[in-house]
Amino acid sequence: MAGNESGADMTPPSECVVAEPVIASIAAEAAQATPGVLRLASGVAGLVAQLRRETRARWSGLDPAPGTGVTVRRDEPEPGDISVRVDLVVSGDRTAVRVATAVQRAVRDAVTENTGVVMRSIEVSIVDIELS
Amino acid sequence: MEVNPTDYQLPCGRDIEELWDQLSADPDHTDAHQRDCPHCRTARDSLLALRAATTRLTEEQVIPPAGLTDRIMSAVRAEIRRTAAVTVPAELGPVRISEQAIAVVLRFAADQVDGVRARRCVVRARPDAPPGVIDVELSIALRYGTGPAERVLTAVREAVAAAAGNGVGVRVAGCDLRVEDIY
Repeated sequence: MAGNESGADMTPPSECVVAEPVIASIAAEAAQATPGVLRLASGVAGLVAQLRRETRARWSGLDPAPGTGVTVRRDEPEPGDISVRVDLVVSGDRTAVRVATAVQRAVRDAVTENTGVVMRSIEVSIVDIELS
Repeated sequence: MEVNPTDYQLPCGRDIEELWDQLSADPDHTDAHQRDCPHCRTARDSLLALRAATTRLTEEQVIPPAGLTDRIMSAVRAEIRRTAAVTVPAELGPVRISEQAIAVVLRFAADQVDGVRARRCVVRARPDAPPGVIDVELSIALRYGTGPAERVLTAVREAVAAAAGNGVGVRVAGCDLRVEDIY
């Protein structure tokens, strides 16, 4: 965000960057709360990241918000250009694609409301449909 | 132990490698020079601290967290399933559904048809079609005496198409059935 350059105030032009793990954990929480979503699935890279975070949590005594199953990508040329991928396991009771679009909306609303970040794309990957 | 690729000499002329070897052999042994020389004493103290720290690290038992194997396996499964997927474009970004996950749903639907046991089910995104259109290959076994095969096969096709539409949200373009067995 650019500061007010023409005004008389002393605020220099400033930038606000929201770290990826913050976006990931907000997105994860929003996705998890969407009806029809059973759980978030993490790939190998996600698991490694999570184990690393757990280890750090043991040292520091803090319990950071989990962002498993969410990958945040920041495209370099445009610093604000952020895309998110969510990996899910959904229930077979509902139409999987509808659950996925609901997750996209929930993630967009939650991230924009809590951080002000507008994402370029929210990809939802359904890795499994569980029949009850 | 090689501390440095080249020999590392202390300002007093002693070699730090030698000091380390000596510490490894007998940590308590010192000669007259080492007791007085400030360089040797400092080096000795830091090497002893290093030894104590590394010994503690090697003695520490590393216990993997509970359920680690399960988590690794489900991560690997998710990784594989993500690679082969049917993509459906949506307003906010693409929705990708694992072909294998779709196959499980369709196979289950076919299995529900009376007189049919579903076996193998393969789902592929149709290459030259709009996104969200799939081809299905399903092999089944029929119960003998259920009725005309024609009618049963139509019922299977309908069940598969309905499950793809309602359960998943994709459209079946081609549904190849293969009757492999009778029971």
